[in-house]
Amino acid sequence: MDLVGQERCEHIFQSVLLASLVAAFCAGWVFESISLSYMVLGAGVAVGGLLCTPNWGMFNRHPLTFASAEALEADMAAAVPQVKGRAGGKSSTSR
Amino acid sequence: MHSVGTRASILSSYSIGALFLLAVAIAVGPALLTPDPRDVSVRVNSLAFLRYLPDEQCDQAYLALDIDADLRPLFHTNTAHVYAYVTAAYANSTSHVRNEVVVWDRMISGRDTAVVKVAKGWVKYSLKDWGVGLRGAPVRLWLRWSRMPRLGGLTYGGVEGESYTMPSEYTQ
Repeated sequence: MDLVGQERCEHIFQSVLLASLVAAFCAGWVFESISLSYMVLGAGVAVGGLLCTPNWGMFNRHPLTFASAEALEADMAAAVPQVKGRAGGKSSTSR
Repeated sequence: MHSVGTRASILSSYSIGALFLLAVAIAVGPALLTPDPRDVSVRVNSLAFLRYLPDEQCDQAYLALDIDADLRPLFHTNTAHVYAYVTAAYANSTSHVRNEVVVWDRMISGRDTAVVKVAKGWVKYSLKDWGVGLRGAPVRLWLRWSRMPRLGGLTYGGVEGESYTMPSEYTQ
């Protein structure tokens, strides 16, 4: 699951949970049964878990691109004048 | 959220939070949103006797009540039982300033039995004073209830009925 997918996954689960919470309270109110209320919440949790726990393809549409070794070397070479003079200085690499 | 394990862990902690929220909503919501019973009346129908008990050295009165109460509004999602009871309160006892005695009660376990109609029902527990203070005492009757919930705490309520003044002399 990529980073965008992780955020989306969490939001989907929160929405499903909130909706089932409201539905559970209303169902319990209308049918005057607390057990029904908890069954509705449980159904919501099951649906949310099924949607959000497995690594579905829809959460993998924004793959991370890693810098290649050549690009990294070029970056470091370009950054040498700036770090010159610092003993054991950190090499600042973008990306 | 990067692996199945962490997702399962985070989602289950959200779910447990929702479980708790639902419990709080059920415990608080229906009690706040439903009105208290209004259609309630209780009064003394007749007095069998007001007498002095020499052995116990106290006054005893035996009453019949008319009770007309619609307690259906107390029943909702979060109501298991309702305990309805009538209290008699009087003030001019010789030994205590404020006295409150339960004279009648009933367990109500559902909406179908929540309409209480009692015509000239003799009290279950006679009205006994601590001393000899019942003669001429003004008695204030209350129909009270305590609602036993499935989740949350007991709630209490009551409506005052017609007051009644005891005879100024013993009837037997």
